[in-house]
Amino acid sequence: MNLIEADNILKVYDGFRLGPLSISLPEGCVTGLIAENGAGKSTLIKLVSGCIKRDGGECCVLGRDSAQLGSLKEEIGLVADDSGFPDPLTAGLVDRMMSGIFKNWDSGEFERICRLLDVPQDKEYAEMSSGNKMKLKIAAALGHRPRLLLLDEPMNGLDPAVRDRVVELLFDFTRDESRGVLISSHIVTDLERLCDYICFIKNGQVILHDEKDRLLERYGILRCLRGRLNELGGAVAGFRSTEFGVEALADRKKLPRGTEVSPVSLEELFVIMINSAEKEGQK
Amino acid sequence: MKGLLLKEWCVLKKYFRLTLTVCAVMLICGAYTGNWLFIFTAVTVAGSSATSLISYDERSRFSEYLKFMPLRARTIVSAKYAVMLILTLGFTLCGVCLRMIFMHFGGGGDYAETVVYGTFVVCAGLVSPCLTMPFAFFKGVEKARMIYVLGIAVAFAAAGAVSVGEPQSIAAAFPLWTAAAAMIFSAVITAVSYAASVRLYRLNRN
Amino acid sequence: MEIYIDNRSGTPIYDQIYSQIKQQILSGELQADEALPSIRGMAKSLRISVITTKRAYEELEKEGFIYTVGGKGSYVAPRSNELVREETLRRLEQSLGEAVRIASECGISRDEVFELLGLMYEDD
Repeated sequence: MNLIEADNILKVYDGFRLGPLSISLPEGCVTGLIAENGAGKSTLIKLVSGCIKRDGGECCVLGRDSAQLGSLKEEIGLVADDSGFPDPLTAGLVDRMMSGIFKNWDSGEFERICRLLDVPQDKEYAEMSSGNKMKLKIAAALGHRPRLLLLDEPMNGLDPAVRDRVVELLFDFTRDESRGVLISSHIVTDLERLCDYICFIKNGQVILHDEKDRLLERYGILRCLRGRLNELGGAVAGFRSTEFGVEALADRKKLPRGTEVSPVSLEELFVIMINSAEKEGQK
Repeated sequence: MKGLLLKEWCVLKKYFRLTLTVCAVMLICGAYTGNWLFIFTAVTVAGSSATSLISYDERSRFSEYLKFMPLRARTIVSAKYAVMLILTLGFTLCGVCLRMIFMHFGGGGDYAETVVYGTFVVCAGLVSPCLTMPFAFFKGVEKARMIYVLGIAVAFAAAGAVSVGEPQSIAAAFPLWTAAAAMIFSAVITAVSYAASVRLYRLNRN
Repeated sequence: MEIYIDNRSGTPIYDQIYSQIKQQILSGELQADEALPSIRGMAKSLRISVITTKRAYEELEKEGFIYTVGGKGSYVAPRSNELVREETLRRLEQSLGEAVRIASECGISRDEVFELLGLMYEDD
């Protein structure tokens, strides 16, 4: 079963339009959302979680319409940048509050994650750094043992060592086949490690949605002179100019045999594709 | 709702300690001198803390968090109303009891009348929060501020009118049935306010 | 069972897993009917995508190196002589192909290559 099934969902704001776009999250998988700021990542996650009302299309989460999740919210963990805990709450008080809200709240699990991520135990929320606040939110999202995790830029403000631990946590989370994660982040290297599927969003549209490993196998970086690009035609999905020529994103299968291509990182893939899409738009 | 009440308690402890202490002092003074306007003020301000709690949720962005918790609109609204009622009724009860104690040591008086005045205070003290809270749940407390001020003004005007020209004390004697009427009125406005709040909160959530 | 993944090698990850498991089966390191780690378990331990591990296992099963028992997992298929021979021939072909390529690059004729080959067998 797909944990998320969004079909042509649409949200229209003044001056911005998300969709119509379709996205799905199969069980047991991690899907990463990569997009520029303002492209619609957060809106998409809010639509999926039922926090905002959609203007069109269908969206099913855990088998139910996302606008009527009700008690299913017990099984969804959400981390977002724009939500917070009340100032006077410490980690311990959050624990007590949540155990009075969620049926499946596991204090032991919450404490374990707080220890793992180094969440200060006795500091009030208002006194915590933004990184610590985020860690607390992550622990709170996992503390009620959800099936589905929706993470909107959970790595904001976290140092590399902690990010590594969070990625490890998420790996362990998906050991259970019935669970899934939808995560958006600017730190593409984390997504490259973690995700099974990758989705690029630009200007409210999905410009790419594919298996991560297939993407990285399919494309490579070709460094050549500008003139060569015309010869290669359809094999090139995008390029960027350097002082000495161009770096082209090339589909390995469509290139002539024996052409030397370097492996591409997810970040390079995204940047070149996004910038090329922009140039196409400008034409 | 247990979890939410714990949270409200923490916030009250941190941010409303001064306000509630001042209310307590006013209450004691009012009980000691027999000045029901003081008692009424203490009760109204204490009860209105609940409205400020709604504003507090918005400022701390906990209201966003609430959107994806498995809580019904009813539960979230109930927590605030519970706090409002506990404060309003609690302060009134304390005021009435203290007044009776002071009366006892001051040579006695009409205890039944004290209870009647107590019910009036409850009634008047509920007016402002009951008017304000539905608006606060709907459009946020900033927009509700006008109503909040209006509500307080109406309540004070009513209290002033009842004291029949002598702002220091309420001299008139009211029959017991007026107490029952006041309580029924209180229950009605609270129920109506609650129902409106739930409906408007649901509307706002989406 | 030890598997090593090189993210930057340019070889697809599923191919790396496929090759390494195949190697271990052919060399006898993995015994017949030995249980392989679950797809999900291996993916998580190696910190790679489940889809990729699944592909590797599917490829291995297609080639007959492993078999799957529904609900229980994957096991090493009994060593078939045919498979071993096929694999050996494949490696031989690869090496010979390399030899021919080197020869043609340097302009060494076919006869010279045969001569060299003959010498090698004589040495043995």
